[in-house]
Amino acid sequence: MTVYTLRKLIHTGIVLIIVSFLVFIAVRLLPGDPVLIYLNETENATPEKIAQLRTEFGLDKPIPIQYLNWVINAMQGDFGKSIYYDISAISLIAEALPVTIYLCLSALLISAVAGILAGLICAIRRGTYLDNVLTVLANLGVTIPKFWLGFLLIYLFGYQLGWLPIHGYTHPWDDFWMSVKQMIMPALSLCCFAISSTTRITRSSILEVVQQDYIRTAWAKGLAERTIVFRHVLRNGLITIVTLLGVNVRFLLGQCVVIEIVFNMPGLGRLLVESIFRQDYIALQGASLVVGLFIVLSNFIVDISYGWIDPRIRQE
Amino acid sequence: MTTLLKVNNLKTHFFTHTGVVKAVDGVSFHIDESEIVAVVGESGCGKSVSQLSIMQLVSTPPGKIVDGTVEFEGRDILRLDPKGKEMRGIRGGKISMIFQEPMTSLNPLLTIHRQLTEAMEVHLDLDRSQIHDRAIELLDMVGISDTDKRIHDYPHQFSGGMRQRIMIAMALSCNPRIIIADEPTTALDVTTQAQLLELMSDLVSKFKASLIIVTHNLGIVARYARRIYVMYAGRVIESGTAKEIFGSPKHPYTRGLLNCVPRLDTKDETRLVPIAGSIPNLVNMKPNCAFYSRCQHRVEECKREYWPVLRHITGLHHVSCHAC
Amino acid sequence: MSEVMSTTEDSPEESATFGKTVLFLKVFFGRKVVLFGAIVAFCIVLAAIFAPLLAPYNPYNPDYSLPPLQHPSSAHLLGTDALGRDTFSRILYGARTSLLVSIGAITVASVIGMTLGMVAGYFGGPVQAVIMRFFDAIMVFPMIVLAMCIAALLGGGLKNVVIAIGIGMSAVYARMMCAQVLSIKESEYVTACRVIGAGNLRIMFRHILPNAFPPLIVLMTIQMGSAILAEAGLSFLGIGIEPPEAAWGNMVKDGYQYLQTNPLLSFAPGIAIMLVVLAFNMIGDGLRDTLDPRLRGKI
Repeated sequence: MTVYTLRKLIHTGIVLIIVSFLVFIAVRLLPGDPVLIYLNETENATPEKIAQLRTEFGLDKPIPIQYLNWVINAMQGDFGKSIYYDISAISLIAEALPVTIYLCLSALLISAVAGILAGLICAIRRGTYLDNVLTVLANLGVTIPKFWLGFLLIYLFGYQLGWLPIHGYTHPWDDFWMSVKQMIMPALSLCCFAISSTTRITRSSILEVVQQDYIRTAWAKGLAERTIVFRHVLRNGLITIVTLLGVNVRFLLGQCVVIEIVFNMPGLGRLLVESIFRQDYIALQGASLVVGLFIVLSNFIVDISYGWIDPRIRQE
Repeated sequence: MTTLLKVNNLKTHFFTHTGVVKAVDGVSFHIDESEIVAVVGESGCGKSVSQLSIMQLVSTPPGKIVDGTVEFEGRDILRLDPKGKEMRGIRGGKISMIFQEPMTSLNPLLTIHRQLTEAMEVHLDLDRSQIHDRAIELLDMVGISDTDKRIHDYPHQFSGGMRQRIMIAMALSCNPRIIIADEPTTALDVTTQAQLLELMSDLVSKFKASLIIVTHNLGIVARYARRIYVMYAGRVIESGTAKEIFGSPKHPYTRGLLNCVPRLDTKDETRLVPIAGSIPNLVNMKPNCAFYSRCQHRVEECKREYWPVLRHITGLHHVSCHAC
Repeated sequence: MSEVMSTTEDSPEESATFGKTVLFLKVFFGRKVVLFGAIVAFCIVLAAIFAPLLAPYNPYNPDYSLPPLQHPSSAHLLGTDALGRDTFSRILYGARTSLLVSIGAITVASVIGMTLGMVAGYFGGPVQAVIMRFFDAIMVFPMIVLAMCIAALLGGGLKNVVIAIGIGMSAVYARMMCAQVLSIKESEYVTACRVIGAGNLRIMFRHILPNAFPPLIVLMTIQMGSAILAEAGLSFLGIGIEPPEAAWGNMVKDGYQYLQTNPLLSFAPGIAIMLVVLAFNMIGDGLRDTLDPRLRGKI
């Protein structure tokens, strides 16, 4: 296990380096000179001022040095100063991050619990009425555009029924009930796809496991169905399910961009979109790096759980 | 000797989108106490499916047991609920199975200890430490060394032959009356095959259990089986004692099978002769003898629209053929 | 040499291949959902091709002859938007955009992903390590964030949206292709090709590619839906297709302002998106189950 963990750690490190380089380079390639954009805000663009700022931002150095400087600073929590807000990018991100984590974590939990349960029920009661209904729902669920579902919910629960606030965000420690009420619709529209895909994939991976020889062996031992499902089937299906949860983290973090815009929540996703429109490259750089970091971390956790689930991987 | 298990007119069909596959179509056989019986036939002749049907382990759908009875301990166990308590008590407890693929028949994610003890937890009235001791003892018995340590290993850390030994230990663990071994040695190399068969027949007599060996290889059962059933296209076409079958095979198919096996007990340098043609497609079969197209001894009557009945010849010898 | 080989390969198996095709079609269309998907997809493709003939109004011309935001009527089946444009006509034209973007994006994704994936798998070693680590890093970013950044880099518009979504999706193809090639290149016929002295390119394109294709076809079909959803998402964010071009994502967004009075403006294009995505998913599932059921749970 240690060797396996170490190897995954190295792999994660390499990916992280490439990711950070991609973020750095992509933002550098974006149209517009950061200095000019910065000066545009302060309105005095003399050549001397430009040259001076170039030195100040370190832009006169070769790209690899610039990258190194950026990484070293980023590791110390300094992503630079937001071009638009004139405050440090890290504080913008720190403000937005809890919103996104709250949103994504609730959606991830709902989708994992509901999706795995539904998929398991479908697979075990294959061909029954319940299986058919859930499968149809899951097939529909993966086709709904998230933002459209958001509007649908707003129309129904916000405008028609008036049960829930149509947008906004409140920290749970400020007003817990308001916060929960505001979170219901965003979390639901965000996790609809994830619930559906989890159901579909759990169902098919469980059906696959059920056909395996060792499950027949388990039946031949005279074990009860419950024991077979929980001890033999679910454990083997877990590899696919864990992979899917990893995919879901990435997917939810991506889709919360759209959901945060629909429900007007001040999260990381909205920061990303707004930074693009404001050409605030420093904030964009920081926010995408943070998104990347979270996903690299979740991928690492997924890899480690493979080792935990499967002795063959652990002892490779 | 009393009859332990009696299968009567068993029919297991598979309903696929290309048609109904009559994998097992009216098979009858029985096994006595402490007896070793072999069921022989080519792959796809329904020999494995007939054994899985006894345990009600045929995957449904597409498979379905459409007719027949399996008498065991005075009742028809096909009438029991497949997932119910009584059927579970029989599986693993009274009748246990060893499967063909040692590589895939063990759960890759659980230790040998877990997989070996779980049947005992269900069927035997022992506490944890007694079960553990028995597990170690069983592994010793099937010839696994360093059992104290290895019992906590995972299946992938064992070779195919070792895994099949573990399967044998699992099958014996609850003192079953009958062990069904479905092609137990097919996936293994020849020397391991012989060792395992020897081990199985030893242990079966030690545990006073009966053994049904399912195989496509007549050669390997010659030494061990008392009686043999030869199956073809979902039916038993010849049965009798090993002596009768090897000494005077009647059915052209049985003779063909024997001609494919090198024999040490005859002096004449006969060549091995393969059976011409291939096994029939079991979908929408014609009602006459299924071996008709491959048979070299066919007579006019074989075209008739029914299978020849399994008729008595001598002793325990029965054959289903118009021509002999 | 190759001609001789191909003729000897083809002729005796022709009837068997034909029989297989018939069986394939029978199994494939035998499932009602697949048939439904195929019919819906066919209708939408027709609607997209013949949009200029089918659309009752010009989707781009503002029409102030009637007050804007008409409710559905016999004149305007789905009503009109704030500029008086006919919603139904715009949905028909939106189908064009959606299909164009998804076909384009899948093409970009599969060309980039499959080429690099094949090179990685075929040469292995450091080549594979470099290429696949690069795709690992690309995969780290959610598709929409990646596409967003690329779209910001290149600017909006149909062509750039296609490129952005295509690059975003390419990693999946690379991974799958690489895995396929790794298993196929060990097979005996590839060794045989090498023995008779076939070149790398020839082996890659004539022997490995055709054999690696079935799962990739399934992936392409299923991703048609994902590409449409991604385009809708980008257009919704305002980084995708630029107005006045009719795109379903834009229409949903524009309709949002009138959600309370004219919910149909937003709902109708959403339902159109769902229908197309559903249709392609059904076809993809059907293809997967008939071509290679082992892929179930993997794609």
